[in-house]
Parts: sequence; C-alpha cells; structure tokens
Amino acid sequence: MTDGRADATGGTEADYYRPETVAAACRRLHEADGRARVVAGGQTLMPLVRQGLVDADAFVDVSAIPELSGVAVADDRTSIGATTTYAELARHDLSDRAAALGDACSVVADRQVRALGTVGGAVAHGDPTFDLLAPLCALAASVELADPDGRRRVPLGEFLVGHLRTDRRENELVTGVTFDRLDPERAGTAYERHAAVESGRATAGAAAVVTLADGAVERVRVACSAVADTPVRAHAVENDLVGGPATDAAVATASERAPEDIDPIDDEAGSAAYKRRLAATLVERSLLSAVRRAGGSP
Amino acid sequence: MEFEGTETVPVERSAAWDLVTDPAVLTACVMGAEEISRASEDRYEGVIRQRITGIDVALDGEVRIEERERPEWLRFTGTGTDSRTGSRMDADVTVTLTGEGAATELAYDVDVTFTGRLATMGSRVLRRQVRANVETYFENLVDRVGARA
Ligand SMILES: Cc1cc2nc3c(=O)[nH]c(=O)nc-3n(C[C@H](O)[C@H](O)[C@H](O)COP(=O)(O)OP(=O)(O)OC[C@H]3O[C@@H](n4cnc5c(N)ncnc54)[C@H](O)[C@@H]3O)c2cc1C
Repeated sequence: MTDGRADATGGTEADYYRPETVAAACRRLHEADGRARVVAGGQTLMPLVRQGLVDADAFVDVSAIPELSGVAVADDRTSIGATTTYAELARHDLSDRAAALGDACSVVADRQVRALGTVGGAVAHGDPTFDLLAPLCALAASVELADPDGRRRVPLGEFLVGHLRTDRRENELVTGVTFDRLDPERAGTAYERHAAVESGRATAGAAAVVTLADGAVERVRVACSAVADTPVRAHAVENDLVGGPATDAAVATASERAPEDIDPIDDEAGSAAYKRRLAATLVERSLLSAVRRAGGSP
Repeated sequence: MEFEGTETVPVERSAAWDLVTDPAVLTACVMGAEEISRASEDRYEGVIRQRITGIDVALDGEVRIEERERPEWLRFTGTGTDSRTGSRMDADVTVTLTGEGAATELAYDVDVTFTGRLATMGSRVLRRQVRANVETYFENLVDRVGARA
C-alpha cells in the first residue's frame, strides 16, 4: 500500500505509508520491526533524512489519521491530538485559557514550521530546546501512547528521559497530550523565552502556571526549557512561592532560586553562567505574567 | 568540544586503575557498546551503537592508551567511524586517579571532535549528547563498583 510519495522522503527508496487509523499505523510500525519511522509534520525528521542521519526502510505518515488531530476541552480535562499543528493550537480558544501554549506556539520559528510542525512531533523528538515542552511540563501534562497491544498514559516528566531520549517504544505512536483544566477565574499561565538570533532556537525559556487564592499563591508550577537534558521543573522557586503573597517582590526573590534545579552547558548559544542568569530572569517574567493573567496584583 | 568532571569510586587506587583499563568494564559502562575486545595491551576495538530519537549512529571504533603512569593517570584516544553517514568522531581523554584512602577520585578531561555528516548536527545537539555519554560512563563505573562491594 505504498502510495509512491517517495519524493517526500528526500528521494529515498523507503516505503511510504499513510494509514487512516491508529491501529493501522501501529500495525505498520510493528511489522517494520524497528525499521520504520513515524512522520508527522516532517520539520525535524526530513532534514535528518536528507542528511543521511536517519536510516529507515519505511515511513508511516500519521497526518491523515482523524483521531489524532484537534483539541478537545472537557469539564475537567483537556486533550490535544498528536497531529495538531502549532498554528492550529495557536488559533484555538485553549491558547487564550492556557496562554502559555499560545505564547509558545507564537515564538516557534516561522509560519511554515508552525503550519506543519505538530505537538506530537515536538513531544516525540524530546529536544529540550523545543518551546512547547516547558509549558506542557508546567501544566503537568501526560503523554498518551498507543501500540498494537493497547494504550498507556505517562507523565511528560517521566516520558522525557534524557536529551533526545524518550520512553517511547519503537512501535508506539504518540496519540496526544492531556492535562487537567485550570480554574479560569484564578489561574494564569505564561511562557517566556530568549532565542539566539542565528539559530532562532531557545537559549533558555520558562513557563509558569499559577493559581491564586485571596492574593496568595495557592499552587504554582514552573518549568524551564533548554537548560538541562530535558525540560525541568524549578522546584526551589515553586517551594519558595507557594503559600506566600503573589507580589512582585516575592516573585523576584523566588526567581533567584531558578538556577538550583537547572543544568545548563556552555555552547554556541552562551555560557552556562549566562544561561543561569537568563533562566532566573525568564522565570521572573513568566511568573509575573502568569500572576497578572490569574487576576493578581502585579 | 571539551568536558571535565570528577567521580569517586569506592575502591583503592590500584583497583580503580584495573577497572578503568578493563575492556569488560568498558563494554558494560559505555552506553550502547558492543563487543569491545582487547586487541593488544594498549588497544581496544569495538562497536558503539546508539539510537537517540531521530538519529541512528553505529560507530566502529578503536580505543588506544597513549600514555600511562600507573596508577596515577592515563591518556587515551578513541576514534569512531560511521560508514553509513561518513562521519568520524575523535576523542582525547585524560583520567587522573587520586587515592583518598579506601576510595579513588577520577578526574577526567575529554575533548571530542566530529567530522562528516554528524558534524552538521551542530554542537547544540551533539554537546549534550556527548556529555551525557561521558557522565553515564563514569556513573556506570561507580554503580558497578558499588554493586560489587
Ligand atoms: C527551521 C526550523 C526552525 C525551528 N525553530 C523552532 C523553534 O524556534 N522552537 C521550537 O520549539 N521548535 C522549532 N523547530 C522544531 C519544530 O518545533 C519541530 O520540528 C516540530 O515540532 C516537530 O514536529 P513535526 O510534526 O514536524 O515532527 P516530525 O519531524 O514529523 O517528527 C519528529 C520526530 O518525532 C517522531 N514523531 C512525530 N510524530 C510522532 C507521533 N505521533 N508518534 C511517535 N513519533 C512521532 C518522528 O518519528 C521524528 O523522530 C524548528 C524547526 C525548523 C525546521
């Protein structure tokens, strides 16, 4: 059932499949026994294929599987299908309510990447510089997976096990991400990043999710991107803030503790010391913005 | 790209030396290492296969001890070639062993360069990957000694 779109994979000899159901996609992956790659938007995968850095006998394009696309908002839980693109997510109401997602979608690369790149692709690739991962981490999202034997759900923090390493098994499909709904009256979220001009990728980023109660911080989660092997929670900052007042001063003091949970390295985007300072600044900005969106004072 | 670090193993210095230079230990502690064998006293051959999301690499390689001052320090070089992508990795590693009674501190200094298609991955991606490999190797070494003790 090859449909002859070999050109889409850079002229390789590999088979190209475009199944329409999750079960059929899983079957293809299973039959290929580790020699097939999932393709969604292709924004990360295809450049690697063209450079010869990916060795596959078959590609399973998941973009025609209706079940994987779109956003579903229920009373208490929100689910984003794997093939939902950045552009689709940015246009959805959800990106107002969980504004950190809208913030992240709007800073990703250019229009082409946003029109084609998908949530599932970002999650499955597990690059800690990808902008969507820190907001999802701060929203305490889980990843949903399917394989021929069934389905499972894994917290994102456990799914991303290392730099470009995930808990996904070879014949599993990422079907989507899901997280608990926030109280629209009292919660606010934001994502802030700084990108190097040359690469356009995040040098560091920070996402904050804050729930207020009577001017105090009832719950808070902060996650940083690009400053460790995976997106990481800034637990020290969270612990400093929770239960205290949601003031600018409290946020500024707590943000100073951002470096305690991160592990940046020197690279062309900057030194580790620079990234530690930058992370603290971005954590502060994202928290202030999240508190404001939650209806707090700043 | 260069990395430095230290790790402490809970054995005396001469035992630590034997560990660092044992090919069986090397195979067990390097991520994805297969069939590392000792080709001569100072030369090891083997294959390292790694699959990180998106990229497959199989380096056919050789590790050679260039200089040694048993049991204080050694310098070795590693080369790996991936014939499929026409890439090559060169590593230059110095390990200094400092005895601290029943324990030994291993201080390492690693310099790695890539050429060929792998080099086009950019140091942003490769740096973290290489560092993770170096750290995992030394952590595995410590775990292995811990499990035996
Ligand atoms: C020029 C450029 C600039 C960019 N700038 C940014 C930026 O500023 N910020 C940012 O965050 N990102 C950036 N990106 C990366 C972009 O976010 C990712 O390419 C995109 O999110 C990956 O999604 P995709 O659908 O294109 O994935 P693909 O390329 O199709 O796939 C990526 C990987 O995930 C696997 N995969 C995909 N979908 C699934 C699934 N459902 N189940 C299992 N495995 C799957 C594939 O096998 C592959 O290994 C940039 C990319 C480009 C090309």
